[in-house]
Amino acid sequence: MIAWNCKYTPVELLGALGGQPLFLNSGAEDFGYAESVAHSSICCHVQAFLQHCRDKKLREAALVNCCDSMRSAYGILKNSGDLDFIFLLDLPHKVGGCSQNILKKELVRLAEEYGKYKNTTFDAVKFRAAFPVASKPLPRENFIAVAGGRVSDSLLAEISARLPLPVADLTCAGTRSLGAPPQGINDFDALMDWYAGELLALTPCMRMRDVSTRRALYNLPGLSGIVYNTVKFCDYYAFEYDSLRKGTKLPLLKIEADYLPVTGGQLSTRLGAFAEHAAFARQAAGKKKSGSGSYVAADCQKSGQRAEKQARPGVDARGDAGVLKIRRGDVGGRNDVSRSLSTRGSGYVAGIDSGSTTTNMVVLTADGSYLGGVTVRTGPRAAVGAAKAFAAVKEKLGVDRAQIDYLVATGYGRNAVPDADQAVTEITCHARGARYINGEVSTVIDIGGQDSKVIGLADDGSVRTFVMNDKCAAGTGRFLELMATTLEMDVAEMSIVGLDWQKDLTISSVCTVFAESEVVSLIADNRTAADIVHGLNKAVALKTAALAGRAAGVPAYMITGGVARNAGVVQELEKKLGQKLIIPAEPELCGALGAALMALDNFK
Amino acid sequence: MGKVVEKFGKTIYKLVPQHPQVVRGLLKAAYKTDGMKTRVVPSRPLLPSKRYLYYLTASGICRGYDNNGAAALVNIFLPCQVLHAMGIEPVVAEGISCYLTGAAVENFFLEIAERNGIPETLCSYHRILIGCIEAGVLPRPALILNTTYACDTNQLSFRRIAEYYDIPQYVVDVPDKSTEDNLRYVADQLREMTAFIERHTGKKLDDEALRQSMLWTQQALESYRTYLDARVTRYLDTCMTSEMMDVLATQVLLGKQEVAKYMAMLAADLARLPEGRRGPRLFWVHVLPNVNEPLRQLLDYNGNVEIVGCDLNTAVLIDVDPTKPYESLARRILESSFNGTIENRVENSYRYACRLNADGIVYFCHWGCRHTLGGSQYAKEYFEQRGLPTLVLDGDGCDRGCSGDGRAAVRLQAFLEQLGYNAGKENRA
Repeated sequence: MIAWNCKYTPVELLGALGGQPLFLNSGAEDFGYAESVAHSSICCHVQAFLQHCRDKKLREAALVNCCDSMRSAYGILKNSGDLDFIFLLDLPHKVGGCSQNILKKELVRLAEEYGKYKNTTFDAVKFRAAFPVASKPLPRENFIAVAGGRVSDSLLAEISARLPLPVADLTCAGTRSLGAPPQGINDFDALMDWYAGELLALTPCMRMRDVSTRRALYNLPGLSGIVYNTVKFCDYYAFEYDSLRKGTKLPLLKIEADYLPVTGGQLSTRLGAFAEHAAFARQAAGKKKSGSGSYVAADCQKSGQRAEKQARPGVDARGDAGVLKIRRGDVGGRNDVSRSLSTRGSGYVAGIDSGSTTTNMVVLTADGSYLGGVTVRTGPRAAVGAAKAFAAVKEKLGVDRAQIDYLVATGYGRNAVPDADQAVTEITCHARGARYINGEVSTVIDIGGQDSKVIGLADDGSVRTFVMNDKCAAGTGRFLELMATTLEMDVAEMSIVGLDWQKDLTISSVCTVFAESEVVSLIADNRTAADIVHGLNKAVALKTAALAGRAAGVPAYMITGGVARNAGVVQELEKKLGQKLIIPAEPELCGALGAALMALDNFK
Repeated sequence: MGKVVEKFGKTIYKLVPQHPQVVRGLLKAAYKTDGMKTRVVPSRPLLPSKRYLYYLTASGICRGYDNNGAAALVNIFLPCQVLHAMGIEPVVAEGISCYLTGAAVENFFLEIAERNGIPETLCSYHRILIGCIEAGVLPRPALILNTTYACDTNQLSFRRIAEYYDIPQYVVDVPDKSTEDNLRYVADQLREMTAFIERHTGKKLDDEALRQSMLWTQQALESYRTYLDARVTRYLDTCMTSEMMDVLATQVLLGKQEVAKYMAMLAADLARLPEGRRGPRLFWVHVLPNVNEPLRQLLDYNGNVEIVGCDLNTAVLIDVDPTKPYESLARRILESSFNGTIENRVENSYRYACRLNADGIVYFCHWGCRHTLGGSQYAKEYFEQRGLPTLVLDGDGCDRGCSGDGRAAVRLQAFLEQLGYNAGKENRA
């Protein structure tokens, strides 16, 4: 089977060359693979396409350079080694002039390359037979259009099931209607010329230069309302939506599809309200059972307000800083940083890790022995957190600042720690600390309050590579903390409650805003806290495993940071990685320990 | 950001809703002053050539704000030699947005764009441009001219602006591959574009003026290649803004006599620098985020780190034939590494990174640029398999809200440490 997804794909030609075209337009269970080979902020449909190509083990694909995400996907698939045949059709943006000839030559190129691959030649009879006798008719009675960017099959079914009128798919992928090849033309060249003209005459998608004929879509007889879809991280249709919302008098509902499966509560509410308040309300059918869909509801013509909440880089959509309340001892210590504890020396060196949530400090004696470590809340300023850490060290270890001969600061607040002798990133420090704790470690997974990172270590313990999470709080300790608040439990409880799950729920998004909506829907659906937390743990594990994939992580894995104490996340992550994780006894101190070791190097 | 700039930004923010034309005047005055000041008494250690470039670009941006309806709004990859030959000022989205960000006034325009229904996932350069136009600050241009490459955003924002102001728009459709058929297709469109400009401005293109612009183009390209040759063995204490300025010089301003002069000055400046290196040498892929203060602190005039090149400036440096302007410009478009699939860009970046003796590559994922984002992992793998450590850095070129600030700086510093950079106290001073 040869995968395709754009309506401009010459599927009839593929069929005439012996191919079995497969329209790939369904949502994916997750984007684990897609994120590891592309980026989480490219078109979600394209991410689903990449995911399906891998999951379904497809060997052939015919793509169109319809958008930037698709152009990138071509490079990724071509170089993945997964496909035996891949083709990128260069579709002109213009219709008229030489563009038909340009497209015709592309069709000829495809026929040559695919024919050679399939060891077939063009069959005009098969080509003609591939064209439908008649295109799919629009409903004869009043209907509602799903318009804008493509929708997955399941989302279309969900919308159809929840609206009282017949639904027509007028999205970019749903308006493919070609005429039959004219009789009397059998010459391949002439047929391709006709075919190019026919493809260019399709109702244009927003990628084309002239989109004026799209207006006809919204003036069809019987059209009673529009559900307008935009695909997450595809910008094309937001522009049309904006002009449509200003120009149409029809009831209009905007949704946003992310091509992931989610529960239908939110969509049900939106479509229900749309049906109740729109002009076609009296035709509404009875209550219908919820199903699955892939969407994020956004705004509605009625209110005219933008209601979508998207995570954006640098905006974490979170509240004030707080403390991760993780119960210690749940996961047990498998290694102990105090292994080299011995007598105190005359002077000390220290490392201080100033994080967004906690500040951690480790003190070593001048001869390299481990004296101890402390963890305090950072509070409103990094300098305040550092002062608290010094006070705690004085109280717990009897060492004051004046006795510390060399101090290395790390973490987000590293440049704000007063009098530090050196500032080093937590990447370098975590690597150093982890390898010191366990000499076998090759990959460090650190999930802190604000970010998560995966660090690959070279044989000598230096940083080979590292990756960090997106700019939002997705998959971090902060994410879990916010979800705990939504579930009205503390983080310590949350870390174990998910272990007792009964029903395997999937929470698709680790965007704090989207996930919170999902959790609220699940609560309303009477799901148990254990099942919901388990779903959240899986989501965090998926995100983290994707990071590990990007870093080409290899065993042995060590997990550090506060989330290492979350047994539920650890368990799911171990499942995802297929490996046991090494958990230090004091996972929060790993970065500070690395900093202290660097201080020791410099002091010497 | 300096306190004066910050205060200026706050003043503009208050004035824009009621007094867009006053804001226009203030921005022009500020750019003009900054351009002059940088040329005469720069606050930074800039090469003479760079001081001249700063002055040139500031002057060009000022002309874009002139309310005479004579400018043409263009995208960064549109060849502008015809415009230069006809004396029409090109106004480029990235230039307008960078300067607004430099003046710390971009927030209001981003808000306007979002309020007017522009998705926040769109490239911020274009969101700021749309906001600036729809706020009434940037005057109505006479024309809109754009290519379909290098990104989707061109199709969307320029079409919207054309509709908003009812401005004539010409789009150059660029196929993916450089073939003879495609060359003819693009060259024919460039000829058609010239006729379009003549029709809508009433101006007539002087063929000799176009030939002269092509000669200056060729001179500038030769000088830039000489500069790159000298860059291979020399350290240049520079900043992200400076490299970003070259994007204008190597793209839309190419074909101006002043740019030929700038490039010649640049090559001469480099030749005078001593040979040698200091710390890691980075090759940068995509735009340079000069809004990110922590990144600027790490990279600008650091003394121990340098950016040796940017793929926007090395996208296409092939010769042009002044006797065949349309075919030459069409070839430049088609053979640009930004045209076609991500492989072209990655291979070209690798080639120049090696040529410039880079120790590592920073692949900057500008929020909103799907082509760059989508290719990030492929690029990283490609570069690293060939021995060039690579940092995929998420952020935004000109939206402070998306710039990632501290997060990006942590990544970059760790990457520099990986390359052997020492961020000890002595270097942080």
